Amino acid sequence: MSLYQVSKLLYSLNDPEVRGAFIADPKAYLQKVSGLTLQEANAVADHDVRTLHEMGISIYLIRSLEYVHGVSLVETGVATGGNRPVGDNADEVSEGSP
Amino acid sequence: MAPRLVAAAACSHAPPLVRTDRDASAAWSRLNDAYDALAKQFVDKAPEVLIVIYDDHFDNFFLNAMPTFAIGAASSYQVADEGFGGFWGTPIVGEREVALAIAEGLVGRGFDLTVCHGDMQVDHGVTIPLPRLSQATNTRVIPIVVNTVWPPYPSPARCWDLGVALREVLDSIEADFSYGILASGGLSHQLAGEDFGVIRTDFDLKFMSRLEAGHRMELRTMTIAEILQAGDGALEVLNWITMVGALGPEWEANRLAYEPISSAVTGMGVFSFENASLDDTRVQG
Repeated sequence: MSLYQVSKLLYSLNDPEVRGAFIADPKAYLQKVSGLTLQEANAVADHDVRTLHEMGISIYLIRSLEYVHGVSLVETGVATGGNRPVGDNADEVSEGSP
Repeated sequence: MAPRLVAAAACSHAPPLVRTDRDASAAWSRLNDAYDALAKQFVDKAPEVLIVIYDDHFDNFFLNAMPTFAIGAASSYQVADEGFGGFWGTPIVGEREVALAIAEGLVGRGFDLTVCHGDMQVDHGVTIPLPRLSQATNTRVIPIVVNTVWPPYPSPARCWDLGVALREVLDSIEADFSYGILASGGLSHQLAGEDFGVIRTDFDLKFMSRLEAGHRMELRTMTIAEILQAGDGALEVLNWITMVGALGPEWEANRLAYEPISSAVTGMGVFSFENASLDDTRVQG
């Protein structure tokens, strides 16, 4: 397991051009990345954020992947194993990006 | 003569704050009112330079080289993309000469900061609060980054001491300009895992009570373990601790808002710090 290599891959998605190449063909992009196990490559390809979180990947790097898929921070948090926020103010403005 | 501290504030930088509409709820309305009050203060005091103390969320720095503390000494900063193009449209103007003087002074005092001379991006730690505080596009920004995102973290004591040293350095510079200090981030939030969304209001209330003059040394003796109980994201209070270390007791804390907002999964705090002895003084020039 390479926490560093997976983190590095996710960090690379901060670059819009790199992100575009990833989105265009994730599997092809991942095949060119060295140092990942098959399980790690699949977790990124399937945006299996629960696995990525359990690997110890920073939520801020997981977020980079989730923006690719148009998933909000709240949905990402729920997907990593959390509960949907409830209570006062739970239904209000929740999105911080266009 | 030394530069003049004219404004100080600490506030949440949660991305949902990019929305300024008020009709969502009374809580959002109160929060927006608080940011507006802060904005008015910063417009009135008109600091020429703004020091922003925040954490970079793996938008500029990465694990290949993670600074514990970093200072931007570039002439401008690009806005980090953050997955969708960034929270502000234009590059941010820097203040290289003063930043270099600060860096030199801090390194000389034994604070081994990373100094970023160029190609530095700033993320929502800067770009969420900055447009709220300053519609002026000519405020020069000096970013100071505290690592709150990957261990090992600097201790609260070290952050406090950095703030104290920052103020000493600023007080020793021979230059005539006005400046403000803004700390962003916090308060309690946990963004992933089974405790996702938990907001520890007890922690937040206790932390905010320590911002009162006379209690601030309690910030210095906090521990990372204690802060982590309020969530991984709560470590951003280290940014607040750094800033408060730079203020003297004549800067009184004024809580403009505290709202735990479930949909932002964050205890949102907005504080201004005010120096009564400056109230009748209008910044010249």
